[in-house]
Amino acid sequence: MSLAYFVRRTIFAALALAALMTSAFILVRLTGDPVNLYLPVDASDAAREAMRVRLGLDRSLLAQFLDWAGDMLRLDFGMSLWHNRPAMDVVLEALPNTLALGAIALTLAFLAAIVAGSIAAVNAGGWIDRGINVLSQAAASVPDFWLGLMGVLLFAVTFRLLPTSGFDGPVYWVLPIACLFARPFGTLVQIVRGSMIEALNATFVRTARAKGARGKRVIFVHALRNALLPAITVTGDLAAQFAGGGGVVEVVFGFPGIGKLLIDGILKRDFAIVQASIFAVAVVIFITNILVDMLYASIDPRVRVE
Amino acid sequence: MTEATSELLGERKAASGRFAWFLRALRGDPMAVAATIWLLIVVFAILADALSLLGENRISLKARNLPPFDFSQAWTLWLGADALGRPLLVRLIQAASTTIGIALVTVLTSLVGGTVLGVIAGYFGGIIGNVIMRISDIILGFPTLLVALFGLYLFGPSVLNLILVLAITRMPAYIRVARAETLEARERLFVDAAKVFGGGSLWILRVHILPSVAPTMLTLASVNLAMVMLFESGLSYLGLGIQPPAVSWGLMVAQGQGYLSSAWWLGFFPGLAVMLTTMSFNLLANWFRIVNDPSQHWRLVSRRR
Amino acid sequence: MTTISIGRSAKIGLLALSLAAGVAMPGHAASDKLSVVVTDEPKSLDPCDTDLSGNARVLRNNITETLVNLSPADGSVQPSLATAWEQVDDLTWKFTLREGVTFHDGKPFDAAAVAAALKRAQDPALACEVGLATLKGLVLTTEAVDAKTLVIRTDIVEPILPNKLATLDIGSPATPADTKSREPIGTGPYKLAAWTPGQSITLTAFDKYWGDKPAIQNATVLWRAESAVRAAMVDTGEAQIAYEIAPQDGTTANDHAFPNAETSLLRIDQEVAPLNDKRVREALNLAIDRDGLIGTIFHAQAQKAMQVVLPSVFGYNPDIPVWTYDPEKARSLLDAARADGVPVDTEIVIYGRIGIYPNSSESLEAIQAMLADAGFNVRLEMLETSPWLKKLLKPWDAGRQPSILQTQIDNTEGDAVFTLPNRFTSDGNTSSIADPKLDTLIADASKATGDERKRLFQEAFKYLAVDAINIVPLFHMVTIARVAPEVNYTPDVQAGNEIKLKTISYR
Repeated sequence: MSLAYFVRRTIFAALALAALMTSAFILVRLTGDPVNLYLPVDASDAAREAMRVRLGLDRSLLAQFLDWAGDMLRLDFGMSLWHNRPAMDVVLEALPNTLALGAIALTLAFLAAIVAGSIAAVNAGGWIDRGINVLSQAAASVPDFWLGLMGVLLFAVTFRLLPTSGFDGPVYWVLPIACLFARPFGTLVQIVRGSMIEALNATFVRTARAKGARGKRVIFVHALRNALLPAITVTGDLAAQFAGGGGVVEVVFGFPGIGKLLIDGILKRDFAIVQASIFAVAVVIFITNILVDMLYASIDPRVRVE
Repeated sequence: MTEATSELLGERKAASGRFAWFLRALRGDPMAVAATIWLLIVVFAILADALSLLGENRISLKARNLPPFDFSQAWTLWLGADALGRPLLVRLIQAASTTIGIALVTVLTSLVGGTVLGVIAGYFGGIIGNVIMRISDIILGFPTLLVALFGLYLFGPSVLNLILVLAITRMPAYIRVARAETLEARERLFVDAAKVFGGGSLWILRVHILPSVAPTMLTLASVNLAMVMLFESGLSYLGLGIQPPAVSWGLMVAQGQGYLSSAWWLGFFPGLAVMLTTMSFNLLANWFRIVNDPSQHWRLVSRRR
Repeated sequence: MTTISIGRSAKIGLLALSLAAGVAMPGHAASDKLSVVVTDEPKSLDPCDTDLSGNARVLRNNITETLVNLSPADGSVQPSLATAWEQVDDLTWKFTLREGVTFHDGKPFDAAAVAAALKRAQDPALACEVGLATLKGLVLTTEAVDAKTLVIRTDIVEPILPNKLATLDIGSPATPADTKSREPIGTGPYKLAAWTPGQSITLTAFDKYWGDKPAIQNATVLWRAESAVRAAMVDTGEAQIAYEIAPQDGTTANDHAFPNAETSLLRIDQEVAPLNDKRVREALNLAIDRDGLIGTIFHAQAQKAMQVVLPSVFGYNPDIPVWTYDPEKARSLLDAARADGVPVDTEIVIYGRIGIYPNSSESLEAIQAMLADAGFNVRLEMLETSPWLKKLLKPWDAGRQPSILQTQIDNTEGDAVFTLPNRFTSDGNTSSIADPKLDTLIADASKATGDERKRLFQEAFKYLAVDAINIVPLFHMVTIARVAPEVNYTPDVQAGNEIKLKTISYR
C-alpha cells in the first residue's frame, strides 16, 4: 500500500465527510426544533422563544451554518441538549462499548465460522455438512432484535441465568454478543465452506499432495489459507456495518453504545449528539476500511490496492 | 448461459424448455425445495386473505391474548389471538403481504434504478459517471441501517418513505456491479464491431449490454430480497417503519415485546416468520446463483455487495 | 484431526465464557441496598427541574426537599423544611423554617437559601421546569426577616401558595446561578453518589440528615423502556422495585396497583367540522365501550372518568354522570347531524402517542374500531413524543384535519387550578376550546377561596364535560409497581412523582 494511495483516500474521505456533515446539518434542522420537547407543556410562548434564541435557532440557516462550520473545523460538536454536556464527550463514552461489542462478536463469529465451515467442507455432501448448512442459513436469516427478545425470554425471564438488560459487568455482554454473532456467523460459514470445497479440489492442493506433503494436515492448511481471503473480505464489510449497525440490538438490551445513543438522539431531537455520532461512526468506518485493505494486501501478496 | 449450466448438470436437452429445466435443477437441492414450498404457502395465504377467505378479523377484547395450540377453537385461532383478540394467524398473513410487498417493491426499485445508473456510469463514463460513483461510494460507506434510520427520521415514517429510503441505500451496490459488468461487456469485441457497423448507443445498450448485465443483477437482487426484509423488520421494530394500525412482521415483534412474559406467542411467531421467509429467499438465491454461475458465488456476497 | 482440535478449543472458549457469565450473576441484594427501575432516564437532576415526574422521582424528598409536602391521603399541606406558615394579608405569606438543617455540602439551610432557590427557579435565562410550569405567571418577592423567617409577597392573590411551593425543591446556595446543575445538593436523606449517563444513578445516605435515618443506605435508579423487562428484573433480583408495569404483566402477588393521579382522555379539536357540532362530540363519547376496555387493555381497577381530575382533588364534581355505552344513540346523533348538513363522514384522525401509558397503541386501535362501528370515519396515527407535542401545542394550521388527541392529565398538587387554566382556557397553549363563559368560571375560581372556590371549579368541570363536551374522558388511571417480597414498601398516589426511599426497608 503506497503512501500516495493513503493520502488520496484520506482526502476523498475528508471531502465525503464534509459533504455528509453538511447535509446532516441542514436536514436535521428541517425536521423542526427541539424546544417543545425540552420545555414543560405549560411553558409560555415567550419562554419557548427565549429558548430558541438561547440555542441560536432563531437565526437564519446560513448564519447558523457558518457558526457551525467554524465549530466543526475546531472539532467542537457543541453541547448535547439532553445530556447537558459536550456532545463528543458523550459519544466517546459510548463508542468503545460499541466497538468492543462488535469486535468480540465478529471475532467469535469469524473463528466459529472457520471451524464450522471447514468441518462442513471436509464432509461435503454428508449429514454433518447438511446440518451445518441449515444452521448457518438460519443464523444468517434470523432478525437480531427478535433473537435478542427470545434470548431475554428464555435465559433471563424463564431460566434466570442472565440479566435482562443493562450494563454492569461481563455477564451483561453475553446476550448482546450472542445476537450480533448470529448473522456474520451464518454468512461466513457459507463463504468458508464454499471456498474450502473449491480449494480442496483445486490444482495447487493436488500439487501439494504430489510434492509429497502427505497427510490431510498440509492439504487442509493450504485450503484454509485460500478460504481465509474471502472470509476476511466479508468480515471487513461486516465490520463497517457493525460500527453503527449494532443499534437495534443495543436498544433491545439497553446497551450504552453508539447505536442506542444515535437512536435516542434522534428521538430526543438532540442535534449535537446526532451530528457527533455520525461523525464518529464515519471516522471509524474509514479506519476500518483502511485496516481491512491492509490486512487483505498482507495476506494475499497478489493483491495490489489501488 | 443455459448451455453452460446444462453442461454442469449433465443435461443436454435445451429444447425441453426453461421451466422443466428449472424444476430438474431444483430437484437436486432439497433445501431449495423446502424454501419453495414455504414461499408458496406464504403466497397462497396472502392470496386467500386478499380474497377474504380467512373470515372476520375483528377486534374482540374477550379473546385478548388467547394462547396458541388450542385446537378446540376455530382454525384461525390455532396460533392464538393478539392483544386485541384478533386471530394471530390472520394478522401474520396480513403482515406478510406488507413485509414481502415492501421488500419486493424496494428490490425492484433499486434493481431498475441501480442498473440504469450503473450502465450509464459504465457506458458513458465522464463527469456524470464519476458523480454517480462518488455518491454511491459515500452511501455505501455507511451502514445501511444507519442511513435508513436517518432518512426515516428526517422524512417521517411511512410506507413510501420506507421503500424509498431502503431502495436508495441499497442502490449503490447495484450501481457498482452494473458498472463493472458494463465496462467488461463494452471491452468485448462485439460491441466494438457493432459500433463499426454504426449501431446507435441505445441499440447497443439494449441488444448487447443489458443482456450480459442482467443475470448478475438478478442474482444480486435475489440476495438483496432477504436483506431488505430484515432491514424493514428492524426499522419497523424501532418504530421508524410501518406504523400501527398497519401491520408488518417487524412491527408485530415490537408490539409483542410488551407481552414477552405474558403472551410470548405475539412476538415469537412473527419473528419466526421473518426468519423462515428470509431463509427461503436466501436459499433460493443461493440455488439461483449456483445454477447460473458456480464460480462466482463468493465474490457476489463480498466486496461488490 | 486438525479441524476437531480447532473446534474443541473454540467450544471450550464459549463454555468458559458462559461459565464466567453464570458466576458473575448479580446475587441477592444486601439488606441496605436497593435498586429501583423506572421507564426513562431523568432529563435533568437540577433541583429547579422537578416539575417533570422523571426528575422528581430521583430528587424529591430523596436528595432535595421542599418547604411543605402534600399528604398523599387527602392533599392537605404538611410541614417539611418549613415548620409553620401563615397568610399575613392577601398578598403576603410568612414561613417559619426548620432549625438544625444543613445541606449535603455543609452549608446551613436558612431563609437566604430558600430565597436564592426561588429566584433561581424563576430565572427566565435558566428555563427551569418549576418556574415555567407551576409558578408561571406569578411574581414572587422574598424578604429574609431573619435566618429562620421568610416573607414571600405575591403580585396577585394566590390562595394556595403553599400548595405551589410544595413543588419547589430547595438546592444548596452553592448551586450555580447561571447554569443547570448535574450534581444536585440538597438537604434530603440521600446525596447523589454518581450519575452515569445512559446507565444508572446511585444515591447514598446522608449521615447528617435532620430527620429519621433511612434503612436503605445505597439506592440505585435504573431505567428500562419495556414493562416486561422491568417486571422481570424484580424476579431476577436486578431490581427490588419496578414501576409502570403493564396490566398484562402485573398479575403476581408482588404487583401493587395504585391510582397515579393521572386521568386519560381524548381531547377533541372542536373548532374543525364535523367536530364543531356538539352532537358529533356526544356521539364520540357514546360510541366507546369503556367497560370493555377495563380489565383488558386497561387495569381492572381503573375507574371510568367523567372529568379530568380524581375525586381527591379540590374542585372535583361528583354529580357529573358517567357516559354510557350506547352505539345506537351515537349513530342516530350522527344521522341527525348529517341531515343538518354537518360533514360527519369526513375522515377524523386520532393522534396517539407511543408509550404514553402501557398499551396506549392497543387502546386506540380498539377505540378506532368502536368509533368505526358507530359510523365514524376514523384513521389512527401513532406518533413519537416530538411530533405528538406539535399536535398538542398551539399554533395549529388553519386548514387542519378534524382530529382527536390521546393525552393524559395528572394532578398531584390537589387543586383544580393545576389542571384547568391553560388546558381549557382561550389563551391556553394546549386548549382546543375557546369559550368566554368557561374562561370567566376558571378565572373567578382561581381567585376564590373555600366553598366558593370549590363550587366554581365544580361548575367549570360540569360545563366542560356536559355543556361543551370538549373531551372524551376515559379513565382515572391505575399503575402497577412490582415490589420484591422481601421489601417493605407500599406505593401511594404520589409514587408517580416520588420514590420515598426513606420509607422503604427490608422485612
